[in-house]
Amino acid sequence: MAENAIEVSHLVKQYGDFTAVSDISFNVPGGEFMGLLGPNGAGKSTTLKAITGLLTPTSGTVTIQGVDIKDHRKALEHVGCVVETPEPYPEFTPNEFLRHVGRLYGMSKAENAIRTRDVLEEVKLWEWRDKKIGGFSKGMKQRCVLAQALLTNPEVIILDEPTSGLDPRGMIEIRTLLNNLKKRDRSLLISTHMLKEVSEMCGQVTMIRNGKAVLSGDVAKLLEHGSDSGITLEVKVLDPLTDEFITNLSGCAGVTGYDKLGEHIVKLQFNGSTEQQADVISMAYNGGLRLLSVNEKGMDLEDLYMDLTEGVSE
Amino acid sequence: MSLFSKTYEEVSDGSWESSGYAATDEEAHRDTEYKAASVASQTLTFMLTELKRMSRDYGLYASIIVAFLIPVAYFLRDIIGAIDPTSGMGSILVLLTVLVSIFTANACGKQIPNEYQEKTAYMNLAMPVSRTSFALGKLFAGLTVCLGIFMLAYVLAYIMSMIIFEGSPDTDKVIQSIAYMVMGVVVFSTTAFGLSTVFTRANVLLPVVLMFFLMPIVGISIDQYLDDSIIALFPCWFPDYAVAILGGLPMSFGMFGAFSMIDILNVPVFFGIGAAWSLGMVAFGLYMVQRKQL
Repeated sequence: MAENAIEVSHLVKQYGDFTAVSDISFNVPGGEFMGLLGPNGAGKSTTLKAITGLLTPTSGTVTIQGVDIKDHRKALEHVGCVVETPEPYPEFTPNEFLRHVGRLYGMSKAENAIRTRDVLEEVKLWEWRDKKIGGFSKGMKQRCVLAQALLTNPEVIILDEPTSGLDPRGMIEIRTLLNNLKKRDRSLLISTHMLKEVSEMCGQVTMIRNGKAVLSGDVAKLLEHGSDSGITLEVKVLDPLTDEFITNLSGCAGVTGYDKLGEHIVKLQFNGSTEQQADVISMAYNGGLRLLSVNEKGMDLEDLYMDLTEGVSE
Repeated sequence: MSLFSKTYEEVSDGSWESSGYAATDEEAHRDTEYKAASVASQTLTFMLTELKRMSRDYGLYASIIVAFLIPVAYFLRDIIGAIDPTSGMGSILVLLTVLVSIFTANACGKQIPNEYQEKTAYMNLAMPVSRTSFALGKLFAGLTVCLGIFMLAYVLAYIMSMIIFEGSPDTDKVIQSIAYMVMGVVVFSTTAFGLSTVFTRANVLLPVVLMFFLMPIVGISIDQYLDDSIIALFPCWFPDYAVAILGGLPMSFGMFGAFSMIDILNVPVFFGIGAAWSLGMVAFGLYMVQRKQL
């Protein structure tokens, strides 16, 4: 496997005067999972379409396992894709649909049949293998195209919002399935709105805003770097909060701001030493409102996402 | 309704019946690397898949029924008016000239836009396939269906002709007529295919309108500037000549007053123009599919 499963370099896509993707660069290291995050219209799907050859970039290059996507057939040989929620043929059953896909990869009937059973069991559609796809729910169709992407046991998997349209149980099942791919040393690029999906599955993240990559890299390192700006202390008391209590806490050294959440919780932005943190907790304890808990929270992906997409409407 | 369906039955030893291959699960689950099939094989796959889809489309069965009805039009000659009841097999096939546009537009003019509209193209083209295979496979499937339907109409007309006119039609003329009709189907199918690749939504009406009106109207509107020997070579006349050779009087000939054109027809040049037109339309269609930004 090449060092990087996917390399995107200075990718630009323009439609007339409108620039959908502007100079995006990132790499998906081999065997790693990367999340592509961004609000609606940020350019995620356009980026994925350019990576999979569904559209031609205005400039920039995309290589998959070292092969330029301009050589579409070779570059996608070991890639499984689900882009823009495609529809499987509604007249077909999952069995027939995957037979069509298998033929395009030159699979023998037997290999096709067994791989079909494997992937349909993985996406929990085996019992529906001989039913027409046209009668399936959106979630079932989604599983069906996921089965198509996994049919050839590809080394690189590219998925565009794979859990959209699924119920909570379906989402968990798909995440579990994708997490299992890690054990097989597969590389995954997943575009999603679901921060939970990225934080649970991906070691790498690229955030896109207005067609530009505003951040890209290792999730842990990015969060560590983000935490330099401080932590949050969530103070919960049994008695209703008073102005005096909040003023005393917000006046403590290291507290940079606060946010009152209802009658019993106040969230403090804190960027100080551990001794100053102990003073804040002590102040809360002695505030006379019967302290219930103080929770420390570092920066998570959600905070980072909200920071970076501030002012961009979903 | 399924003409091509085939199911696999799992048997107790873990292998699959009807597959012709007796691997166990362990053997089949080896870490195989699959590579894209050859362009020819992918074209065949797309063609077979399209045929399978068509076999489940009621439109195809309606077309076959209409093919049966083409010769029946002979009995409606008083209503249609353009049929000369004494002109043999040609009079039975008169409706072919009209139906060729509808059939080819239906079979070859909506597959590519349907792929875009139904988003199945996002699935097919995100695999290591050649867009040429994708488009050609669909065209070949449509062409196969159209040729099949018109051959069926010819067989029925031949049988009816033997019954009604009490004798076999002139075999040489029937073969010539079939050659014109095959070329006509190719010309009209490739035209429908080429025009349809411009659209992202399936629109059966547009190719029909274009084929009904575009070619004859272009021909007739320049009639004032060109002489008949050139107009006679327009590839839109193939179905009309196919009927005229058998003694029928195609409606378009009567309408445009161009019936005598067949006498001045340079056949090899005519077929050459038909082939060039078809290749041009296929090339245009492939170009549009290649540059399509999904």
